Amino acid sequence: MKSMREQKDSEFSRRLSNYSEEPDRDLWPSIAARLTPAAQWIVWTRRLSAFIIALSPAFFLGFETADVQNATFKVETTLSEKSNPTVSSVELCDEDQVAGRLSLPTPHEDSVHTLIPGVTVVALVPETLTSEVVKQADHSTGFVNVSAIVPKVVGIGNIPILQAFDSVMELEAAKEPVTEGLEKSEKRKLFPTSFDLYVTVMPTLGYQRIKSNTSDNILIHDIKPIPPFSKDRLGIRLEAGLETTGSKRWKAFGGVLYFQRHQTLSYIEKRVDSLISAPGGTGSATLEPKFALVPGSMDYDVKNIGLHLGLSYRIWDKDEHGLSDLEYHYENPAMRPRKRFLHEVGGGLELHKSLKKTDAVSMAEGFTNPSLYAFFNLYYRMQYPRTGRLRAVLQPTLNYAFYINRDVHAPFYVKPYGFGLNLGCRYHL
Amino acid sequence: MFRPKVFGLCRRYTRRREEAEDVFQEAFIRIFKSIDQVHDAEHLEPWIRRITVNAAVSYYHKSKRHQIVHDIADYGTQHANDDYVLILSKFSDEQLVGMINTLPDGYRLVFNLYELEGYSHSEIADMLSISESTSRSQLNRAKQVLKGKLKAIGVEKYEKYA
Repeated sequence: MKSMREQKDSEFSRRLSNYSEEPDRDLWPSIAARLTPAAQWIVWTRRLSAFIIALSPAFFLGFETADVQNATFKVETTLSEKSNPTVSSVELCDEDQVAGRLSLPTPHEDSVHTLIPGVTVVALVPETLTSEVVKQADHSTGFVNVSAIVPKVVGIGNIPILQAFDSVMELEAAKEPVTEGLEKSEKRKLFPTSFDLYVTVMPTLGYQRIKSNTSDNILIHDIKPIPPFSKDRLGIRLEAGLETTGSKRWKAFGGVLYFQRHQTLSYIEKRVDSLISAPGGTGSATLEPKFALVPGSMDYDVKNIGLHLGLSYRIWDKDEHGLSDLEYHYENPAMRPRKRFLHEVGGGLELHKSLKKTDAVSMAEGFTNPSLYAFFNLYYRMQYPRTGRLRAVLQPTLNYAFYINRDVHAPFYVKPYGFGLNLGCRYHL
Repeated sequence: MFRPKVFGLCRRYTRRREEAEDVFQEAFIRIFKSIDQVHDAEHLEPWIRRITVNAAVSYYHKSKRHQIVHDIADYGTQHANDDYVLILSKFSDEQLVGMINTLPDGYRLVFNLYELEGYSHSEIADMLSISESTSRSQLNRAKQVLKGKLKAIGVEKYEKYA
């Protein structure tokens, strides 16, 4: 006969070894999204960028925190009795979720929440705090956006000292949906112009297209190759500027930059060493040149300052589950968005002026550096965190010189291009 | 077809439903990615079960928390007259799973692996990177905690039905 203990154990096993429970149907889109190769690529890109950002000193020196779990701030959301039934499915009462979305530790941060059409939002905060809530209608989506301007938070290093208070956001069904008839001025209010100050440093790997000068008497026999990832190709580029936000996705920016690289190009020149003369018929002669190969080198030295103007476009609004913020609100209220990075692509034009003066020796050898360059660049930018005043930036960039004022006396022309990894930070003003 | 079973398995191995959903997603991603390894339909269910258990164990490793050492003295006394089968019958499966869910992570994992999946202590030790003696002691503690909970709740229920 089994002991009591064995009875219990086998009973557990009998009852529960095939225990079944129906999962949430909303899990399937998430699984499908994670199975696509693109999604996998995104996940790995994000992991890599998170690793690099973690190494960035700017990240650790930030004076803002995103760790809302340690904050004493608390947000509660209740639904009134008048609420539209669809409203009741919105669970904004998850403390972490709401606090995270509001980015409350950030001083004067505008945090936009998208709510259901026809819903107005009232935020009640203690009178002692100068909080402000701005409600704006989004004509393009038909939703109401709420921007909460929260009181200043004092912080030292990356440790915030938060003022603790409670606020209650109350959702009520509005009489009329706020989706129609928005004026331009209202649209402008919806996406108010603001500025980001950015500073980046970019180690670059420089390459060049080299073309012989066919109008001189110098024959270039060969150019000594440099390994593609050699330290001899390294350069550095510093940039600081402002980016303005005029819409949800598009941004324009302008900055000043300093670019420096130095590379020695070794080449072999073909020179006529001697001429062998052979008598031809009827008083003529055939001359056959004999060439000598002479090694030479050219210091390609770039020290430029420049202006950079461009546009960026926000991409991948959805997270790795293929869900946007809106879908989390309306379709999967129980799930928490996992987006942490802001993704953008963009391009720009750079006009460089050389700081390098050609010295006498170079001039005598026929080598002069160009004084003007025009580059275009293309980049992919990731920012972390997505929201917040201070963000770290990781930006792989391709630069290509499409115009150089050529020196007609140079033995060959060099068109530089390069790949670089911009690391830096942005500060929302 | 296997969806409820897989999710049920995930529920047994995790404390909260959200965690079970994470394990469920991970398990099905692994299943879909390597489904071509299964050539015999007869072996499909045990294979899926093994994948799911492995996903749960991986999840445990990733989200390992500090274990709270429970005082097990309160649950240590065996009462000869306790009829556990009868007490258990008063609980639904969901309630029993809920009871297992309240166990500390390590206890819950070892209990599930040993009692419900049939793994040996040596296998569990390998899977969880612990020693066999730790596996044994965690199982005993899990049982004692469960027993205590059953007694505390079950007897009361039993008396209500009497």
